[in-house]
Amino acid sequence: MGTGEYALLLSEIDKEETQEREYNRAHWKKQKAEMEKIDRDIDQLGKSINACVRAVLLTYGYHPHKGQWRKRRKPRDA
Amino acid sequence: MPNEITITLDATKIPPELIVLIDNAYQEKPARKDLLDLRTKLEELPTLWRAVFDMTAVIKSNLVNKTISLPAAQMAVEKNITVLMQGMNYEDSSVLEKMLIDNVIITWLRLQWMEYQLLGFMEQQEVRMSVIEYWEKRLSVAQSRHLRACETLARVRKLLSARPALQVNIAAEGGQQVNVAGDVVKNNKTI
Repeated sequence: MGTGEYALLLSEIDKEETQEREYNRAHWKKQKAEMEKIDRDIDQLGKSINACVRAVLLTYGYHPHKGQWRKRRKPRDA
Repeated sequence: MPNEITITLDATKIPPELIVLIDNAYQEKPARKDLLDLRTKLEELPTLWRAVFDMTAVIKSNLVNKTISLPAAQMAVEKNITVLMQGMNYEDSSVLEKMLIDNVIITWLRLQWMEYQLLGFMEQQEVRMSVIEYWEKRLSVAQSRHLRACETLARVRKLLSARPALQVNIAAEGGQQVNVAGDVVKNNKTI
């Protein structure tokens, strides 16, 4: 390690690098949080739409059968 | 690349009591009472569809306006969306289908944005591998989500198209059965 002005310069560079790393880390953390929030909202929308689809299909006479939708047969007249 | 996106959806979720009714009726042999309860509840909630449409409008608008900074690029994306919607026959679709088309558009926008972001990171000189992996994972999630949205739209259109499949059976010995699906033009636009 040097002394005097050279040491001061090295110290400044070191300090700046640390600050940059901290900034990048904080920025990345914020970006990740935003990303996950948007994805959560889109997934929530998907769930809501799927609930609507289920509700409509059920009331239109469909029922689930082994993971697929089947149309309910009308009861035969006696 | 701006990343400031805020979407507030907390006020527009499906009511929990409706979810319970859907779960009760979602059976291979649903009870008549459960189906009636579900139907009654749906009739009591005329604003349900509006709430979901509001949700889709907010997300769509945010994805276009807040993720794309250049007005020209925004216009290009808007044009793309219009073309996609026309391609899926949005105007002549039922309410449920419109909802599903909106979902396809939103998942498509998200996927495009993820690809753009990942490409941007890959072009940078100094990027940690963990960051690239993170974006790749999110891109994969976006791809699956978009695929699911497309599949749901196709399935619902098939189910709600009123025409049954035309089936031709060749019953002679050694013959084969030929199944021909009927025309998938839908007639019911009131759902």
